[in-house]
Amino acid sequence: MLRRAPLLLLILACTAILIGWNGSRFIGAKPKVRAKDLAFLPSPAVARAMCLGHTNTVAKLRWIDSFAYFQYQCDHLDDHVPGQDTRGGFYRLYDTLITLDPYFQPFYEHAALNLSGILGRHQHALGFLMRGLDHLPHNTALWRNTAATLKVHFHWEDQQPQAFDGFLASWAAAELDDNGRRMVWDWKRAMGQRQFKGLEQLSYWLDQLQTTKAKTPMGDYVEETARAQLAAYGERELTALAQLHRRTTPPALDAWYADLADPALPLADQLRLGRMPTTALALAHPRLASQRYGDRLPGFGPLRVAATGRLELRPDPYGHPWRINGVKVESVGLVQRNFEKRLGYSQVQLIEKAKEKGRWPTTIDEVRAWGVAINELPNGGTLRIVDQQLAVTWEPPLSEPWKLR
Amino acid sequence: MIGIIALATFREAVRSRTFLGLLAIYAIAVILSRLVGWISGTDGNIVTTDLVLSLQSVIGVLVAVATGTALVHTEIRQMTLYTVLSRPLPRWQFVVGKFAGLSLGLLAGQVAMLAIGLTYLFITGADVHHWLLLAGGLTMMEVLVMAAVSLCLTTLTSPLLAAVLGLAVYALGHAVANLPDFINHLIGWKMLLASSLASLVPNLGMFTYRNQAVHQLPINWSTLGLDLLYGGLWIALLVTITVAVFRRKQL
Repeated sequence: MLRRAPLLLLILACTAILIGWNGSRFIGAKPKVRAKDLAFLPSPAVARAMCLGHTNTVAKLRWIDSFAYFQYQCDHLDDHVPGQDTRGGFYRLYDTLITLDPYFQPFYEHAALNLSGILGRHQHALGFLMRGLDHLPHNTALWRNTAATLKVHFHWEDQQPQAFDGFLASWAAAELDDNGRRMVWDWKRAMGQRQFKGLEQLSYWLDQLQTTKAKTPMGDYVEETARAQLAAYGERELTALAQLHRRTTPPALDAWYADLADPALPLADQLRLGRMPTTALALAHPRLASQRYGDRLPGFGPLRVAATGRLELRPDPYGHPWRINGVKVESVGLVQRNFEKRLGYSQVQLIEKAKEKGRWPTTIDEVRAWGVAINELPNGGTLRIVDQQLAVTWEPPLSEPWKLR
Repeated sequence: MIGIIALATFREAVRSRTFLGLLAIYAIAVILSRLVGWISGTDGNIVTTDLVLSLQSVIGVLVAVATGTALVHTEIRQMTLYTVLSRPLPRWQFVVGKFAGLSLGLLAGQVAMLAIGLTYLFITGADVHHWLLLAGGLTMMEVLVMAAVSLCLTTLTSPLLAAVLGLAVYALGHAVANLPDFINHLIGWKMLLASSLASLVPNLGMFTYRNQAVHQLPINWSTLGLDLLYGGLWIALLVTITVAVFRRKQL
């Protein structure tokens, strides 16, 4: 035993060092944006042959591998892949995955979300959903997703109400119990109640929130899209309230001269209009709200009635305050998110430049010198290069973001 | 005599390091398959179930090929074969006994894998139903056919080459299952040649029910019967070829 002790100690020491070395890669690891392409997309029949009988497993692994492509497309929005097929990477990917495992519901949902939500190809998305209904005729989630797509992206309820009701009747017939059948018409009613002018797509995204999980790429994308829509809506409403404020506030001479520069306003309005409020908080005024909304506030708008009964301005959906910028009201959170989105394009450009030059830049000035376009950084942000990625750090929001889940 | 040889082979097979090592690898892989389910961000149970069933097939075939190719060769190398055959024991009984023992060992391994896999799925909250048992059963038939292939190949060539060829037969056996999708791209003698060559390889796609079992899609019972008959015929053919070659082999 004593003779073997040094050998055992050596084995233990090497094992500990190697395990520690391997494990250190995971400490502080951050997800990287991968410039993932989908160049290898065999046709469905070839893919099936290549699976050697393990079609389900291979389909799942390929699908998980494609999450990086989804993240890439969130910024890139160019689904073109080499070859003569013009249908794009997402279409070919999901065509193959569904052929390998046609009974896996998430394939259809993700196909619809990626093609419709990211790329705006609603026809293709609808095609996949209808294909899903062929294989999974009693799947409530797919029926609901299809109905939401027909309503929001094809406007069936407004333009073809009879056809839409016919579709809903088919859905109800496919449900296996009375609760399910009743739920179809409850769904139609609920979608109608969530219809707001300027937020027509919100009902679709809130529906998608229910089918995705938090802290997943898809779930985060859906939540982010819904939040951005609410922020944009808030900006429009508060800007409209600000214009109402200007019409009722006497102009000061210096502000009048400044307003003359606004090309969006007719000259008559420019002569008549008063000042913009100094802060967005001034827009939470009952007079302005009643002029705009009558006696009912929109449920997803920036104004709400506090517990004290007073009208108050909510923070923006990201938890930041609203900000007056010239004659418009801005959501600080949305400005930051839009900057991050455009930074994604810059990241893609940077990757291509780095491949050309054979190295990564070390400073932001060097990135700009290479010809990579980076927009002006909004206030409250710091831009750096971290692990071969352009990373922006923002000051934390003053309030909690709106709870959407 | 066949029974005695079978029992001895069974004991040898289940005690072999290769067998136990691959079983351990299966258990570890099944536990780790849950990670893939978590990464998928959806109902990870279906993803995990797919992986568990696939692992049963892949590792089962690896065990079959590794054990089957070593079976007769080990006896020849250790010269225990001569002791056995010196009794008035026909060679065919030796081959059949060996295959029977190997089959029992592989079935024991497959049952253990299925039990481990389904237990793990049950513990982790996945849906466990009788269709998964059926899928596991058909995978067992697939493994037995591959064992017969390995045994046949090992009498024809060296164990290493037999193992490589055995894995190639596994790949081909699944590839030919999809050949009807492509065959219409060929015409004339090319189609005839492709069909003829494909017919020489066991169609392992007939034992692939796991893809439907995960989604609880029922199987046609007459199809199940035909699949088992098909597997049985291939096993009979390959064992018969092995006997024929072994009879004339100079040991």
